[in-house]
Amino acid sequence: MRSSLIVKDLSASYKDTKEPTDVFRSVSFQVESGKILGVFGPNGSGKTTLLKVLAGLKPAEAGEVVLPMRNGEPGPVATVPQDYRSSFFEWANLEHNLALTSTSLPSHPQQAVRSARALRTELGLDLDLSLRPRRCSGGMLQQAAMIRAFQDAPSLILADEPFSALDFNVAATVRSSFRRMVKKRGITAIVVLHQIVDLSEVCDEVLVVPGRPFSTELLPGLEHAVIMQNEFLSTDQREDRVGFLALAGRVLGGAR
Amino acid sequence: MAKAVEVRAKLAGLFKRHSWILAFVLIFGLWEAGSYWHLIGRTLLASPREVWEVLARSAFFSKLDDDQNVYIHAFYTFRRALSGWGLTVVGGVVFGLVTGSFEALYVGTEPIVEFARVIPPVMAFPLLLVAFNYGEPAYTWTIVFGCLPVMTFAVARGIRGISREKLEILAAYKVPGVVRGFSVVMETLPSVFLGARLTLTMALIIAVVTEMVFTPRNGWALGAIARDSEISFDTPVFYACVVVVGLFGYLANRGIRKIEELLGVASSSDETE
Repeated sequence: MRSSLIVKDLSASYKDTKEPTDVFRSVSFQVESGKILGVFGPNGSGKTTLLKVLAGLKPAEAGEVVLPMRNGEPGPVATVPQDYRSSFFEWANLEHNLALTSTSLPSHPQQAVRSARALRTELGLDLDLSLRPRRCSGGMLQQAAMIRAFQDAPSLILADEPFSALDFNVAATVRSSFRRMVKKRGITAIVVLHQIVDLSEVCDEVLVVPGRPFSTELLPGLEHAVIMQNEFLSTDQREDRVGFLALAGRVLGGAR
Repeated sequence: MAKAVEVRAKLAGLFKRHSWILAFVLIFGLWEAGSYWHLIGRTLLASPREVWEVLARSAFFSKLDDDQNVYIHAFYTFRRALSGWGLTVVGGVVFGLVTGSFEALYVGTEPIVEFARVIPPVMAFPLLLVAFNYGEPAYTWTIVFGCLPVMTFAVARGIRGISREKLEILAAYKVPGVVRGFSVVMETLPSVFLGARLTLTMALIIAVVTEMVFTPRNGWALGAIARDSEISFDTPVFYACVVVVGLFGYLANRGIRKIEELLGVASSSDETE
């Protein structure tokens, strides 16, 4: 039995300066299992910070995050980091890097390796997992980071620009298999994206973040982030696509 | 035309692969020329042939007093250097792992380590000689005193240098403590090996210098024989000592590099496009 990701009145700020800098305040939304929420906004608007707070890597100042449940407990969280290159260990090949983050490593190391190979096939990737990270291009490492995200059947995937280094063909394959696997496995996914084509092909909903600090509520002094339904997945709904682009452009334009 | 380009490329590759032979021949050629034409006086420079004779006689124990056998002296010197270095590596890894793992401890101890590592270890040698009643431990602990801050600093820097993304991946995926610890140790190994190679060189230098300052009780010391041969203008023996120390340092460094390669933690410049 899977449930939704619920984010309630979440706030975060940077405290590395004398005065804390607000990143976002009173952010609330809900994403059902099997749904993909895109996060779209200008650089430095706090999208990555939002993902880090949701992953539990950065403490929230206020608010609540209810992770999608599995067997009565919060399910595993997987991440695809923005700096995917630095997330791989140079002393191990890709296969062993992927096995490192697998829960089956301590008891069944061979199973961890087999699972990585199977996921590669399921994602439709042609990636040599015997290579060391330093021998891989950015695109190859990003593919490996995507395989890692689907290991151990996560209930939540938080991906930060997961298609940014992929070539045209691989990006198309990964976009479609990512969406297919999220739906099939009932995973909740939040994906930071900058390309309209990625948003339109991958996401069910889009959180448009106009700037920093932002809020999903209308509050004075804060940029208003809005969630929009992605109604333009089918090509015959061009008007909706144009409508989305116009709205996104207006929101982002207003931040400047 | 194409053949000429091919030959030129082959020659360039051959030259690149075996340039060390050329450097070796050049150095020995200059050395031989300098000593043959007395460009530098015999009291300062022995010829390669004379040095070779000392090394060969030492190897076959012929026409040479035992107390002039550079290999026996070298054995004791290397034993001192290696015992001090071994303690340094063990202590440095432990202290480095602890100080590097806790930011407050790292920040707090960094000035102390920085202060300690610029103190010439020979300054502590007379004190340690007295403390250890002019015995062997004085040499060992002088090496430890000189090398430990460097080793500790290298390991601690290695720990602090692990990228945030790697640590975040381990944390986000809730990797078990044992696997996390293993990953951190493996990630720190290049710094451990760097520190080990650096301190091995330092240990050799400190061992020889301290032996030159004060001859050990048993009389076996490469530093002491080098000093005595310099004083008595027995330059072939002096240069034989130089060659033996250099060769040992080179081979030991190569050995550590080999272990790094076997463990898969050696740095490489190969990159993909």
